[in-house]
Amino acid sequence: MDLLAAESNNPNHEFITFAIGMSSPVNYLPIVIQSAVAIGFVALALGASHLLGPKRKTAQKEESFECGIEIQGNARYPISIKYFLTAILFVLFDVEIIFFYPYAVNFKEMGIEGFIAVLAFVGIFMAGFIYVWKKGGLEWEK
Amino acid sequence: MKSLLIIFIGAIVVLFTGIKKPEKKSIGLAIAFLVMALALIPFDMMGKLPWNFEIKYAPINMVAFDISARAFSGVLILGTIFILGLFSGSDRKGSDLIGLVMFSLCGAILMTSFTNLIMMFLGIEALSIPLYVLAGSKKSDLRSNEAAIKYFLMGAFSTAIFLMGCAFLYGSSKGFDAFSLHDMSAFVGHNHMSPPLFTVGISLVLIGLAFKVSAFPFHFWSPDVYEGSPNRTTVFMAVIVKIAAIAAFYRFFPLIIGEAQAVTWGTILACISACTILVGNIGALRQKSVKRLLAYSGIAQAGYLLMGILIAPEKGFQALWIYSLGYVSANVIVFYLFNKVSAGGDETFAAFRGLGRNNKGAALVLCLSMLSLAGIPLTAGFAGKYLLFSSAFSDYIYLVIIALIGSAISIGYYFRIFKEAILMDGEARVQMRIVDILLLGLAVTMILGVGILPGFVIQILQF
Repeated sequence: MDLLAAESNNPNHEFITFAIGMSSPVNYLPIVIQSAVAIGFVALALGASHLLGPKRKTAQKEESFECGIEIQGNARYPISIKYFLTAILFVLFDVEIIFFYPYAVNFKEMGIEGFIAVLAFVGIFMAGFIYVWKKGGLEWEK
Repeated sequence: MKSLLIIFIGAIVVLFTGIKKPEKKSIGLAIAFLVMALALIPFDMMGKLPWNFEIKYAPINMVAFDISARAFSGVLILGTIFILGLFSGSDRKGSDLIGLVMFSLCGAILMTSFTNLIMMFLGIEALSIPLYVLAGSKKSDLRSNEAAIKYFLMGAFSTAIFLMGCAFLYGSSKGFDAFSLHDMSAFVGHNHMSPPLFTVGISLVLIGLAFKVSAFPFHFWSPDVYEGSPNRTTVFMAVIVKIAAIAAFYRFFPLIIGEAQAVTWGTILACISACTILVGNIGALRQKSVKRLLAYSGIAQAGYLLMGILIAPEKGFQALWIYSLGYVSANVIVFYLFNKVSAGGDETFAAFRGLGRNNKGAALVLCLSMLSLAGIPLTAGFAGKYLLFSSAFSDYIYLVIIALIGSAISIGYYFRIFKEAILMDGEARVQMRIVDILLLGLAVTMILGVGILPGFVIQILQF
């Protein structure tokens, strides 16, 4: 810890303590203990209920979806590509909305500069949307 | 910044020309935007070299268009002009594909100019994501699809590794920007310690970058992906992606590696470089497909380029720039001629047969670019290799010896194409348009000009 003493009048002191603390593997011991406790608890709970609980198996109980209605077909069959296109468009607009929430909160602080930045963002966004629209991405029956 | 904006706006405009049916040819428009961007580069934001930390970048300033950024983005834009101009007739004439090429170029320019790890990551992503699509742009071709999915999976993994490294670097140096990283590396070097998080972070980021330049342990994807992709995408990957990744590597390495650690990391990088040179050159010897051969040649060239990162930044920058000029022009010529002669579907060496008899000019240009790739004097390849080897000689003598052996091996396979084109009889024929002749003339001028007067070309950087 001589390093600490030597550098204690350095304005970057906090950073240095942090960096030196970083280099010691002992500091990670709590994380190891906590993971061990977490994994141990899960293993114990699952193991105990498996060993102690009563088991009565029937054919209906073993089915993947047990909801009273008979299962039809397989879950894994090809789906029309149009659904993916719609899903991706939805994600785009979802992301746009996510950016709008923090902007709305900080609307006054960010001032005219922030407004221009958001306008540019929405502008590029709308350009993409118009492109998809004109290219026929929204036509369902074609 | 101006040229980056011009390219971005150009990409959107080109994309929108595809709305009208029937689709107009938008390559002319795209090239006009790129030429405008190239002309604007000297007027871009002035700044100092990235290793000169006297200028304090504001934390919000995520890019700096200093001399190295402008020089490398100039090469990248010029390369894209070559690619779009020479390969206009090859693939589907979709304006969306040309728009994607330009978006990808935006990412490449960000990779040359970042001062912040976030910007570097965004650059790599903006470069790669359009390429995943472009690699699969021959929708009905099974090999193109295979190339796309391979490139996507490998690229996604490497990006994840890179991002993990960024997180570790952030954790240890408390910041993403050039300053905190540089402070941390100086501090680590000053106190002779090796904090585990910092070391792990550096290694993971280097792995991510080594994947993009296709350096030794991470080169397996490149022959398969190059072979399957459409020709224009292949040459884009071989030229633009490699130069952009090397520029990013060059910018990142001195930033993160303090003086005290330079020996350790330098040795590791020198080993990677030596292995890359050997693997690339020896692998290329046994290839039958020309595209696979050029992929292995690209791996070997990546090894030479990595040498430029080991030497002192100023010298390394000049050497890398000269080398990349030669690399871009020679590769573009070879791919262009290969694209023309393999139009019938034959992608082996035999495709070149008879070129010397039927098209003397084309054969001459092919030979010149092969000489440049092999590094024969009076070509740009020689000038670049000379600068790299002579600056690396004092510190990494064993690496220079391996690189020289590698160059000697490379003559074997470069001259095989040479032999097929000149001595064998066949049907290869190239029909060039006026634009092609102009662009090829420019590329040849670059090879010869840089080869004969490298000092004069370096003078351009002084502006």
